[in-house]
Amino acid sequence: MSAFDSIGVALKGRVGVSPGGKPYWPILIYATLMAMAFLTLVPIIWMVLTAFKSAPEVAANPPTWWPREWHPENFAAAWNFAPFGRYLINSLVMVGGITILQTVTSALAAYAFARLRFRGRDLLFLLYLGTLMIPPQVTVIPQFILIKELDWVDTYQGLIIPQAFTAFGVFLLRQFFLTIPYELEDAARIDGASRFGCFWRIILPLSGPALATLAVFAFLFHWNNLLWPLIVSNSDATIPVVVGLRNFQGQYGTEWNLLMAAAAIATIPTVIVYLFAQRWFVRGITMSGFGGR
Amino acid sequence: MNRRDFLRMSGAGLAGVGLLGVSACGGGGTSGALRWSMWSDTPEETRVWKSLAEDVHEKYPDITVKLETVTFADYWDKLTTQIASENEADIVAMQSLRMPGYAARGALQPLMPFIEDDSEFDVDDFFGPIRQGLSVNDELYALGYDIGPIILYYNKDLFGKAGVEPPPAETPMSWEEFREKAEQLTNPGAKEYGFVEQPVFDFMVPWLWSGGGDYMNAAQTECTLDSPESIGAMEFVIGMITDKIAAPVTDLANPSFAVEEFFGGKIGMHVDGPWQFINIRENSDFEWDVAPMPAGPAGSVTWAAGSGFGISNTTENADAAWTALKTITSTGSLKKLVKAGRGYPARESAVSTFEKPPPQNVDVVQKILVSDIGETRPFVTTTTWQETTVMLTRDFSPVFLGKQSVDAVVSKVKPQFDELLKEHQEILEQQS
Amino acid sequence: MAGTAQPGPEKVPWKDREHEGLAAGLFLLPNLIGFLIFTAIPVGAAFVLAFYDYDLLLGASWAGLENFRELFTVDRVFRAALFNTVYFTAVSVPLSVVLGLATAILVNQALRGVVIFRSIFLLPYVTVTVALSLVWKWLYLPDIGLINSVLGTVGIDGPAWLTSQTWAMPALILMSVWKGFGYNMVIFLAGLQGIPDHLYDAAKVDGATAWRRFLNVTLPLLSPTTFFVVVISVISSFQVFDQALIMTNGGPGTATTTLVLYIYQKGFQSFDMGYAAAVALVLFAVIFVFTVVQFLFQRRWVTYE
Repeated sequence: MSAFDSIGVALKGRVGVSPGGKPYWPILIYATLMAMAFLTLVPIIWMVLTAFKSAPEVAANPPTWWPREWHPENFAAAWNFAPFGRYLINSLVMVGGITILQTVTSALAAYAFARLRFRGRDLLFLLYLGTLMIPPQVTVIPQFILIKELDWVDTYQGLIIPQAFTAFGVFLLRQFFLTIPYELEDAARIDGASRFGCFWRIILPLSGPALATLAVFAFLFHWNNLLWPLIVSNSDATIPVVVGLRNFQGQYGTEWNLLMAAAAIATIPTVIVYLFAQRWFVRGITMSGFGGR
Repeated sequence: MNRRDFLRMSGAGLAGVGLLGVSACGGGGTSGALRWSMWSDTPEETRVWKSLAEDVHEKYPDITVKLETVTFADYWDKLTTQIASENEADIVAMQSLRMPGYAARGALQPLMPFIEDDSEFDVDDFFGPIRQGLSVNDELYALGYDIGPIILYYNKDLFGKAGVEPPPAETPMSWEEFREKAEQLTNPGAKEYGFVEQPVFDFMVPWLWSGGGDYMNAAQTECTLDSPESIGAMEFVIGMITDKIAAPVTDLANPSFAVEEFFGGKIGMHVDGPWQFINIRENSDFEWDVAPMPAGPAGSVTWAAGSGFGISNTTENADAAWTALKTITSTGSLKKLVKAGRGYPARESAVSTFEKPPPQNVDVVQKILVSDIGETRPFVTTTTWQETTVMLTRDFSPVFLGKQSVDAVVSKVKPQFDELLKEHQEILEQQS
Repeated sequence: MAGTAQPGPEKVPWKDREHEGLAAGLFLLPNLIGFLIFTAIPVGAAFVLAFYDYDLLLGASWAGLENFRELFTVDRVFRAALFNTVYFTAVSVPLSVVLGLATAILVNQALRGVVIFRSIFLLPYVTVTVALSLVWKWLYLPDIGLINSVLGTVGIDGPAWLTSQTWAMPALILMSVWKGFGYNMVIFLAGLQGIPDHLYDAAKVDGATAWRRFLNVTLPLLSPTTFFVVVISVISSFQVFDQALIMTNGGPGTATTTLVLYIYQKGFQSFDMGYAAAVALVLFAVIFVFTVVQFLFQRRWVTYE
């Protein structure tokens, strides 16, 4: 084998589909990935570099790439600009609450849509789907009036509950459940298992990737979702990070360097969650997964 | 939609005219739990507002004021939602530019009844322009905390480098002189420009007025952008962009585009309000100063706008709110704001020396405000101003980019503006 | 993932059928209550508002079809917004779906450190839009921006992206595709995971090349996933808002005014909620039609087993 091929072999890992074919495939794939990663990262790297610059330098014309002087204190300044510690907790509570509530209730409902026959099932599903097609800008005011009547303004429940029941989770999980072969449940049912038993012991264990996908997406989406928390939160006791980040965009100008620093800090929890969830994405399934038998 | 709030200005300490005397026999209840909504972009600002809220409590132990802040950018969406669901605070912060829109829609209650009942309260201590700015149909809806006129900023270093005489501090220079200086400062090779204009209609208005034109007539029934004076004024400014004496507009979505260009140090002159003092100090590394707006055919005419606080229409504690409001906008409070320092106070009694320079010419600001230099008019807006601004921003953008002529745009804009003025009149009628 | 068609006859013993309704109710209940109260009713309210003249602060009065009449006959901004939104979707969806798929295949390979790449490609999606928008504005600056500088080295004179009538929308599209392809990649990855190895092995034994394996094994088995990704991408592309607001504010002129941006302007800036709801209703109808068409077409190209 040439040195080239040896590198190719050395690059092989344990996760995923074997590249197969010529020994140099891994190098080719790696090279492509590196190029793409580079292009993907350029704006993000610039964002992080900006976080280290002084305010006048950020305003400089033309914009600089590498900081002239490094100001790591920007991160501390950004953190102290507003009570981000508290905001972080609020974000975790809010987003965690939404994620759990949505995943659990969506799984149950999706099972009903995927497996059970009942009158009006498809019509109801269509209603669910339809609500995804209305932008939040018009539903926000009726929703706010609702929670105001419930006295939920500026509370955790006001932040969590109205957002936990969107149709996305039901749609995603229903699609997934439909691909699991009936035979598995039939066997169990003949043995006398209840519907819930089937759900609990057969469907759920096979649904790792789908549940993880839903949970991760719910988490990512709500972590950065601005409109609803903006309207519902009034005090530091409930303001999440995403609203707190707006503090850097002042009436008369934006503290760009601090904003970038804060944005970088705010991204860390989401990256951690995603990396953590990788295990479920990666898990190979020997039987039906998404899409086939 | 002018975000540059004059409010910032009012910080400049009211010289202690004892308006702080929320006297015992003045009007106002003395107990209640109040909510106060205000925008705030930095922890320092929030601290200042909080301390004012606490002052109320100290003076009136039975009144508590709970401060709720969001950033300026989000304040309006949130306020609109709150009003639509009848959930707004008792004391509501309001910009003069947006006052007609909100007041005409019943968001705030008129303050005259409170003022008349309160023998110790001197509303005349507030500068005329801010009283007018916070009134609709001669009805006052809010007490101002800051105000400021649009003035000219200039980069002393650039002037020195090019060997150009800086603009005089107390005498507005003519448009010809202004243009000449801008030309001399422009150096395309080094990407230096004599001027930069914020591509937002609000900043066209001082030019319109100085040129003898206006955007609407006094009766607020017709758009007057098509008058020869108006067109002449707009062509003067846009001409600077197309002749490349003013920096090209590269960002239509940034409300701070022009000032950020100015920070960059390659712009000779920029028009803005005194609220930028702090920003420019922090973000620039060159010497700068201020001067009055250049004088066109009708003189040096500029607008003043500001912000204040009003009492919501749905509050259950109007009397306590009035008491709190008086305290928050009292001379002593406004002096505190000045020290925290972003703007000119809305009360004459609170004007004292602004912080240490820069700018050296800071005294000029008050002279401009009271029309000792040039003329300052309140920026009068309509109840449909938000929509008007959106329309103007959208349709004027090609002009600011130099891609369309002023004439073409005005003929497109005028019918829409007239339509919006009609709606404005209808709303006013409904309310009276 | 499958579409709405049932993959096969249900083999539930007859005696269990009559209990379905109750079981269904119990499963649905937790989600359904929350859904009806907090999602369906506000959506319904929005539908109803479209027929009213609802000035947020002044109150509502019945307007019948007046909003729609104005929308379709005189509102040129609406027409521009509709065109822009369809344009945006028609270009960005194929790009981000294909890019997402290609990336998923690449990171599905057994290579060291592939997990790192998976995270890198998702970074644009998880990072706060506001911060990214600024950086992209710098990238797009006419003379000094990185993109035009790079184009300049190969002799191309780049346009003034964000202030150009022609190039503002493509600029937004590029930024959105960059931001969103990682999301699609994640879903495709999950789908790829579900394709059993033995199918590939069998194909290899038959002598199929990598390309053939892709065409005959991967694509068909992935089609339910692809279908889902396309449907969701279309729905969310039609609702593009943040980038349009932050990067160009709908300009220059109406070049990047999208339907949701217009809804926001009408509802929150002009206080005309009834009209905004009417526009939202039209948007809904457009998305609905697109989605139904996709559901109908899926019978042709989506395979289940």
